[in-house]
Amino acid sequence: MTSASLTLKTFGIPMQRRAARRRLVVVTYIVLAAICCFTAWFARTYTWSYGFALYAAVAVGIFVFGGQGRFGLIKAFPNKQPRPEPPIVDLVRLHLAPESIPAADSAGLKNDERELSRRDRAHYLAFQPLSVVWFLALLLAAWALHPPSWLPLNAILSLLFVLALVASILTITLPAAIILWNEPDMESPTFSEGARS
Amino acid sequence: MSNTDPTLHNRIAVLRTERRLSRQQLAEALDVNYQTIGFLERGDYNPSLTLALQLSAFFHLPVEAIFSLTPFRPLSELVYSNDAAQEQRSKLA
Repeated sequence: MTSASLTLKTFGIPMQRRAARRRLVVVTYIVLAAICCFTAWFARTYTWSYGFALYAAVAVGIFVFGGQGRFGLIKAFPNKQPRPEPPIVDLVRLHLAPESIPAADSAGLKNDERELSRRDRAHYLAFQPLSVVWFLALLLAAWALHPPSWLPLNAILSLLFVLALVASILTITLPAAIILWNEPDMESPTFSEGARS
Repeated sequence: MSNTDPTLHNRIAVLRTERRLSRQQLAEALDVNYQTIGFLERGDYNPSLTLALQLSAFFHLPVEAIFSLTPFRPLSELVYSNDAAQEQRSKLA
């Protein structure tokens, strides 16, 4: 799953078991929902505060679920090569030793073919509920242009804001959450049961 | 692997054990995650042609000796049936 698969932990809790990862996903979304509610309420006075929910979602993507960087439980989705060692520059001649950036361990960061197919499938699965959310947002936006008599404009705009916030958070976090939810229990790398026949 | 793919049977687990390799060692040799080896061995993931050929090169065996669309006969059965056939032939001779 990640470069640190052998010691897969979040907040000190082992995450090799699928049940543990599912608990993590549920707890994380409960926290994000709470932040969303707080933000939606707070944004009525301070519009900029919706950024808190987005920051929280990005932090989850980077540090908890993974997929957005080197941290977290899942390898980075972009699957880019790690930054190479910087070239020796003329600073060496001036006896100013440049600080070398250690080359990243590409083997632990690159997704293999199964992980890439799993990543792509997770994005496909995440696309389904997200498209529903965006269609609902479009419906609300259409109503906002010509508000029906039974729904005040303020309520429509508030709903639209909440829906857009939820969609943004899901866009950032859902693919990684789907992978964590679906990936079976992890085995030991030296496990060899069933190899004899 | 798509769920519509036909089941691909393989002998990776047997071959790995014969060579006394852990999943981690085989995974490092093939530059894949060790979990992927587990998925392959259980038949939960069908490898790409590239990975299949890498496995073939690693084990020095033809691809069809490692993968098959029909279940493999157990090696013990293959070995003993050959022995039995040879014995019969030697008796006849």
